[in-house]
Amino acid sequence: MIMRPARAATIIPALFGLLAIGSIFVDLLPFLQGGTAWQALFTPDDSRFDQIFFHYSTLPRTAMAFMCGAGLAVAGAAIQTIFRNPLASPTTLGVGAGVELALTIFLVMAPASLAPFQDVFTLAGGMIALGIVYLIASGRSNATLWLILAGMIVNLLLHSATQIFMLFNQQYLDSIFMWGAGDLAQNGWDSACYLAPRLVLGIIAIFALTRPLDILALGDDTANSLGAPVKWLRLIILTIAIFITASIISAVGMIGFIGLAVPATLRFVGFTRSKSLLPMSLLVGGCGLVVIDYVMRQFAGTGGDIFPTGAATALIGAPFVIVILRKARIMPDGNANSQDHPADYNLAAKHVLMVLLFVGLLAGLALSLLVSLDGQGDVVFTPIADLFAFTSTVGDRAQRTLAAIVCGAALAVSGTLIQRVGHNPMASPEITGVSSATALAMIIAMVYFGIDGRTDLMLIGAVGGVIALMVLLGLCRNFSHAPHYLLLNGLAITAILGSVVRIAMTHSGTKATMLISWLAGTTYFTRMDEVIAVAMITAILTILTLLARRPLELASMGPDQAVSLGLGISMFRLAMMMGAAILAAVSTLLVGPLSFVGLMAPHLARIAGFRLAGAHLIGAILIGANVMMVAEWLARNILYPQQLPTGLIAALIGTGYFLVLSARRR
Amino acid sequence: MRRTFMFAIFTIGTLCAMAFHPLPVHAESKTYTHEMGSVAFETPPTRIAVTNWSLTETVIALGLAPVAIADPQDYREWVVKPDLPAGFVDIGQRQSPNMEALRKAKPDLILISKELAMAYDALSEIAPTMVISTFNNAKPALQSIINTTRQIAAVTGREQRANEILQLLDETLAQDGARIRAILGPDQRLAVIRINSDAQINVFGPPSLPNTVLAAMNIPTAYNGETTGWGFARGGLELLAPFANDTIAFIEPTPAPVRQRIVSSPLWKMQGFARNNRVYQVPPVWTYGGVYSAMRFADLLAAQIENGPYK
Repeated sequence: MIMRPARAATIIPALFGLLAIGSIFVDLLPFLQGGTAWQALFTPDDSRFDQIFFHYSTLPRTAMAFMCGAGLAVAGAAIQTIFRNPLASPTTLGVGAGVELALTIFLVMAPASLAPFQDVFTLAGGMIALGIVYLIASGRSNATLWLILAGMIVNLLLHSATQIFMLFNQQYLDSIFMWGAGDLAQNGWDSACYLAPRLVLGIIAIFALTRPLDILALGDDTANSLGAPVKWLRLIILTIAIFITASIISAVGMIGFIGLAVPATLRFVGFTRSKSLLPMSLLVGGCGLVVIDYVMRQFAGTGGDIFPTGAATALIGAPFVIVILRKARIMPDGNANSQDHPADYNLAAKHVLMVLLFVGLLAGLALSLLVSLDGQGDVVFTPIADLFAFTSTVGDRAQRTLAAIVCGAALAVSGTLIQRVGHNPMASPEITGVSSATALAMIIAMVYFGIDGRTDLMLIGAVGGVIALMVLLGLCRNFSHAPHYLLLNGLAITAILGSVVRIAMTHSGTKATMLISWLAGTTYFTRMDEVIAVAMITAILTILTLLARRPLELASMGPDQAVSLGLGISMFRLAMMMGAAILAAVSTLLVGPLSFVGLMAPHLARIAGFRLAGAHLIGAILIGANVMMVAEWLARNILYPQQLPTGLIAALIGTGYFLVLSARRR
Repeated sequence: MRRTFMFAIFTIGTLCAMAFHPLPVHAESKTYTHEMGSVAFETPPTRIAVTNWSLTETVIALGLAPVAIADPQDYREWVVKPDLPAGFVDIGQRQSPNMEALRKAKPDLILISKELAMAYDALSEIAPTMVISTFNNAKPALQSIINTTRQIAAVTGREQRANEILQLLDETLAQDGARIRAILGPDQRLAVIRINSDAQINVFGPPSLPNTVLAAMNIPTAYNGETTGWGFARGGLELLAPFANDTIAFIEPTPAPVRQRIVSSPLWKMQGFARNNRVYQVPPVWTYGGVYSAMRFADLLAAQIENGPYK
C-alpha cells in the first residue's frame, strides 16, 4: 500500500523540475531569439563561439549537473534506507572522503599504465572508509548516532590526509584544489560520456533492488525472519551506491550534501517507500544540482576567479541539515547509554597508573627534547647537558612540545566536560563545531580581510568560537541542551567550515599552503608566550572544574537524577559547556582545529577506570598530554626536514585507537 | 647609614648599566629596512638562508650560494635554472622551513616573504630576517623582481653584480622581443596561460611575470582584465574566447594526459587561435621567480616561436 504523499510532496519535485527547465530555457534564450536554437543544441556552427560554447560547455555541464545530482541523491536514498538513518549519505559516512583520498593518491602517484584501474582504486577507497565507519559504529546501543559520529571522524581524518598529500605536492595545489571543490566546468562531452554509462548501470541496479531495499528498511530481525539474505543484500546495495559515488567524485570532485539533503527531505515529506523515493530522489537531486550550478555559473569571473559548485552545495546544504534536525524527530532520546562504555580494564591500581602516566610524561618530554631523527634513518642524540643549558635547538623543540602538551591537556578537559555533561562518549570539542568555528573566523579574517598578525587572529578566533557556542546553545534551547542536537548541529558547522575553507583556499593565493598546514594542526607557528597564555587559561579552568567535580558527577548521571538531587541543571550545564568551548577555542588557536585528543583522552581515561569526575579529568589530562607529546615528536621527525602537522598524527592515533577498541569488542 | 646604602645601590646600578650597555659601534653598521622592520650589518652577510624559490633564484643570481634552501627537489623540476649550489642544508617545505635544520646551516641572514609572516619572530631569533615579498601584492611583477634584486644586492654588497644582471635582463628582453616580433609581426597580441586541469586554465594578467615581461619586450598582451592575487584569471576555456585572433602560449609542466585532453577538446580546437595554428608550448618556467626566470621565459618563448607552433 502506497501512502498518499502530503501536498509538499508534489510541490517540491515540481518546483525543482520547473526551475531546472527554466534555467536551461534562459541559457537557450539568445539562440531562440536568433532562431538558431536547433543549431546550437545539435549541430553548432563552427564559426560562432556562442554556439560552440553552448553546445560543448553549457549543455554538457548541465547534463553533468543533472547526472551527478541524480546519482548522489539515489545513492544517498539507498544508503539512508539500508542504515535506517536520515543523516546517512555518501558524504557523511566518509565514502566521499575515502574516494577523494584514493583518487588524489592515484592521480599524483600512479604510473600511466595503471590508469584503467582508477575505478577499482577509488571504489576500494570508498569501501574501506565506509568499512571503518561501520566497524566503529556497529554493535552500539545507539547505532544511529554512532554511525554519524564515526562517519564524521573518518571524514575529517581522511580529508586532512588528502590535504597533507597536497601539501607535499603543492605545485599541483591549484588543480587538485579546484577538482576537490567540485568544479563542474566542461569543455566537451567526454566526461559526460565517461560518467553516463556508469551512472545508468548503477541507478538501474539500485532500482532493480527496490523490493530488497524495502525489506532491509524493516530492520535486520524482520528482514531475516522474511528469509532475506540480509548481509549479502546490504553489501551488494552498498557496493553499488559507493560505485555511483566514486564515479561521480572521479569525474567532478566532491559535491556534498545533495546525497544527504534530497532523500532526507523527500522522506520527510512523505516518500517513505523506495518505489517512490528512488525516482523522486533522481528527479529532485538532478534538477536541484542543475539549479545550484546555474546560480554558481553566474558568479564565475568575479575577481578573476570561479566559485566551485561542489563547495556551494555544502554551504547551502549544511544549514538545511540543521532545519531537518529541528523538524524531523529523528533523534534518539538523550538518556545516558551506559552500555556504550566498554568494560573497565583495570590495568593497575588507579593511583599507580596516574603516577606512571605522569612519569611517562616527564621522561617523554626529556626524550623528545634530546632525541631526533636526521632524515637518513639515523637517530641523533643531543648531549644531555643541552637539556640544562637549554640551547636554542632544545628551546625550539621545547616550545613546540610544550604547545602540544598544553593543547592535549586543554582538549582533554574540554572533551571530558562535553562527554560527561552531554552523556555521550563520542562527543568531543572537534565535533561540537566550536573548533571549526574558531578556525572559520580566523580563516575569513586572514583571507578576506588581510589580517595576519597572530594576536589579532587569536582574538578573532576566540570570538568566533564563543559566538558559535552561543548559536549552538540557542539552536538547542528548545531541547534543553539536548546533547545529540548539539553534536549534529556541530556537524553542520563543521561542514560549513569545510566548504568555506575550500572557497577561501581558491581565493587565498599564496596563503593556501599555510592554511592547510595550520588546519591540520601544526605547532610550527606557535610561540612560547602563546603557550604560556594558553597554559594559564587551561590551568585556571581545570582548577575551577576540579572544584566543581561533585556537581559534575551529579550532572553526569543524567538530568532526572541530577534535578532530583537539587542541582540547577541547565545553568550548570551551560557553565560547563562554556568552559569546554573556551578550552577548545584556545587550543584551536594554538594548533588548529583537529586532533581528536578531546575525544580520545577522556574515553581512554574512563576505560582505564577513572570513573569519578575528578579522577576522570586528571586521567584524561595526563593521557591527552602524553598522546600529543608523542604525536608532536613523530610529526617533527618522521620525514625530517619536512614536518607533518601534529594534529594529523594525533588524529591518526585516535582513529587507530577506536578501530582497535571496536575490534576488541567482538 | 641609609644614605650610604642608597649610594651603594646607585653605584652598583650605574656600574651594572655601564657593564651591560652595548659598546659603541666602531665599525660602520648599515641598516636596511624591509616589510616588517629593519636589519643592521657591519659586514655584508654571506651565509644566506632562503625560504622560497624567488629568493633562492635571486640570491644565486647575485653570485652567492645559499646555505639553506627549501624544497630543493621541486625547485629542480619547476624553476630549473639557475642551478642550485653544491652544498646546502635542505630545510624542508617552503611553507614551514625546519627551524632545527635552519640552525644547523648557521645562516647570518634569513630571507622570507610575507607568507611566512607568522614565523617572523621565531626566525629572527635564529638570524637577522628580512621580509621581502615579490609576488601577491598587486605590483607589476617585473618591477617587483628588479626591486627585490636591488634590495638583496644592497644588503649583501652585490650592487655591481646586480647592475650586471639587470643590464643582461634589458639586453635579453630587447633581443627576444625583436625575435618574437620578427615572426609574429608587431601587432600580434599574446595570451600566456597555464593548463590547470581537464576543464580549467589560468590566463596571466597585467601584474604577472609573463605579462610584465611581454610588456617590457614591447609585445602586446591579450588579457588585461581582473586577476586573483597570483596575477592570473582562472576559469574554463571560454576565458580564451576573446583571443580568437591572438596567439596563445601555454607554460609547462602539465601532466601529459591533462594537456592532451585540453588541446583535443572541442572547445579548444574550435577557437580561432587553434584553427589559425597560433598555439605555442613553453617548457617549465617558474612564473613566480626572479630575474633569471624572467629571462628564461623570454628566451624559451622566443625559441619556441622560432621553432613553430605546438602540434
